[in-house]
Amino acid sequence: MSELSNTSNTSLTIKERIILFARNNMGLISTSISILAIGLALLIGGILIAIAGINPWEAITYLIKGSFGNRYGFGETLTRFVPLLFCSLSFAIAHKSGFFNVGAEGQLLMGAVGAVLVGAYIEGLHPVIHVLLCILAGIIFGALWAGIAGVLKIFLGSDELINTMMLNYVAILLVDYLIHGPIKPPESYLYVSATILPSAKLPIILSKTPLHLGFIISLLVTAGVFYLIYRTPIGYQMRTVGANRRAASYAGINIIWATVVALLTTGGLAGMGGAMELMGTQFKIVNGFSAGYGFDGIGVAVMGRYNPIGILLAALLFAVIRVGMGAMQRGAGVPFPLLNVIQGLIIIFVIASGYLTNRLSETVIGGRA
Amino acid sequence: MKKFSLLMTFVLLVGMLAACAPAAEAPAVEEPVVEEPVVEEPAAEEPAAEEPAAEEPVVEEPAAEEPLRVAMIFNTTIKDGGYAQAGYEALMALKEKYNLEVSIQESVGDATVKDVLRSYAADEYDLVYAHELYFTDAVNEVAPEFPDVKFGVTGYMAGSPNVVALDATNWQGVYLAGVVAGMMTKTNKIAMVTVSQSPIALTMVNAMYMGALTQNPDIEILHLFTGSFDDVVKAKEMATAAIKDGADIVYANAGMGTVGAIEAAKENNTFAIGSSVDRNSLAPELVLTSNILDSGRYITIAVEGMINGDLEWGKVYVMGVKEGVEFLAPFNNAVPQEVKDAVEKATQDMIDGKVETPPSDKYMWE
Repeated sequence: MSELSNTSNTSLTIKERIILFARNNMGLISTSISILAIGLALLIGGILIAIAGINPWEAITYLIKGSFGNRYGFGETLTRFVPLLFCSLSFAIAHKSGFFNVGAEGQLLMGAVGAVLVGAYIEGLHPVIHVLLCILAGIIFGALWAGIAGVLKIFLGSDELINTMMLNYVAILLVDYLIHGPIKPPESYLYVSATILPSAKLPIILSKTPLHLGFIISLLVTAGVFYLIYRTPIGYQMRTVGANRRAASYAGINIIWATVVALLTTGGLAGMGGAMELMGTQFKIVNGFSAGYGFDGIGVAVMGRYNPIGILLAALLFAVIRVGMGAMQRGAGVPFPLLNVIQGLIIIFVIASGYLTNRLSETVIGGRA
Repeated sequence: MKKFSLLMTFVLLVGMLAACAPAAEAPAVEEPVVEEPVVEEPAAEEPAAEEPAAEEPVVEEPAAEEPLRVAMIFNTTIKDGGYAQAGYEALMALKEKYNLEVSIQESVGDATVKDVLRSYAADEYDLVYAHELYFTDAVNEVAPEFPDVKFGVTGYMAGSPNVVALDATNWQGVYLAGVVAGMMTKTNKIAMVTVSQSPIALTMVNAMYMGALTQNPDIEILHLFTGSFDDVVKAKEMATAAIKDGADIVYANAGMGTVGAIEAAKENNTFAIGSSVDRNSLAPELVLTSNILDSGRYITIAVEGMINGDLEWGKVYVMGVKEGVEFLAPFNNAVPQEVKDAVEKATQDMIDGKVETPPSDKYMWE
């Protein structure tokens, strides 16, 4: 294969130039492919909306207006952005380390449970300490939950994809059980958890919006995560294990240690996302606490091509879609099932575009080798 | 607000006059559904009928400029064939009737409802109505942030002066069903299938007992609970077991399980009483009636209360038979006239306040 590309590389200058251009501008190309994919998905969505008898232009206008056009929508978009970012970071770091963690949903929920236990039941703490303790509890709970799948993988070699996926359902039902009894305040009519104390709530950073401090924390964490992966020895080890376990083992890297660190970070990040969501917006665990952030986080990470800027942009896009979908329904009256279809279309197109970019970069790199 | 409602009444009046005055012969058939008490008023003012017709455009203009803006939030799809759909249809009827500007958002999760409430409020809707018990806390949390917006919720708490909470008694309809069951049973055993043993369920069981007791001193109730809103199979099994135990009337109020319990009655050729909506179509010969909870009434009461200015904000309204929220569906052919009379009397007693609220902490017969 590589030989073939090699020969064509030397004989055809136009193709060579194209490959050279593609190699040098991979980021640009993959970004434009992603944007094209979203545009295509919106186009098809627009046609569907038109078939439903609604002016598609109006609907798309509401999508933009609702998520960016006013102060509240802007704040809401950035608030939705936070858990999506944490979940996608969680997936990305696991992916880099060769660990396929699709359990962010469950880890996020468990993180929220940890945060609610500390936030609601430990009284009399200084707000700063209380908030930090809550976050820590979220990280620990999330990491432990991911650790279950990790232990199974390290010691029994069982597939982490299945285990993390299944643990999602265990977590969802466990939380359901908890809010039906153990952590439900006895005086409440509803099945919800206790509300966290005011000292554990994250402050709002943009008045008249729900935007809370977690937004800034999430940006810092993103920087920290990529520093860890690309600028530290353990990050290097994790990446090597992710790229090739056997090679890493030959190189004398402690695979178990690298996997353990990867596990703790992946679970911890998702758990932290749950804690942020709890302390910033929800203040208590309700039925359906996570609106599918864990699953969307996978899409965000894939779309962001596992790189920091890409993930930030992709998380923002997903947040815009989430918030804008509501606005489309409220403003233009687009029915909810149709919105689900459009959302699904966007995700399918984005993932397809990721596949396309992968193929393209393989070809380009093949041309180099 | 008062000024606005006055204006609305005036517009309504003038509109009515305008509609009646020009074509006296034809329009009688056109809109027979117009609220009756209002129609009476123009009749009294008949002599003046010609004059206001002239100023009609002047008055109607401001009304057209500022229709009442009502937003409604559902936690399921509006096509659920029950609770949400009834609310949505009532909203659409109100839209026609009062020329409202309406917007809805469906399938809103408990985790996102606060955002939706705030979005509507920030968009300066006049009334934001959350059509779900589980939205109560969220509404009470968001409402203080928007003192100029009115919030309504189908729930149990109104913690802010701009919130009104509308709730059903959840037992008055069951009491009426109990009257029917008490008279129709031959074995004196009534099977009752609910979801849980919660205080609400116990109130219902006791209401059934009280209602039946007024007609039948030997009544016995077999209370069964499925533990789930969707467990159709378990509800059916439990109802079958109760029938084998001698119950000859099955009352079911167990979410989806209601269908299962009625299915059991059908298989054993036993009478049944449905709940929430009219379940007669499941077994027309056997479903005697259903205690209906008309969830469309809530939004109607909230919107009309806002237009008429007679709704007290910051208050919880618990409504039942008197307000038309709870009632019995049309009886099937198996129900004799004396039962219908007894139900009518019980309804009147309830409206007159002669029926006490049943206890919610224990079975009354214990």
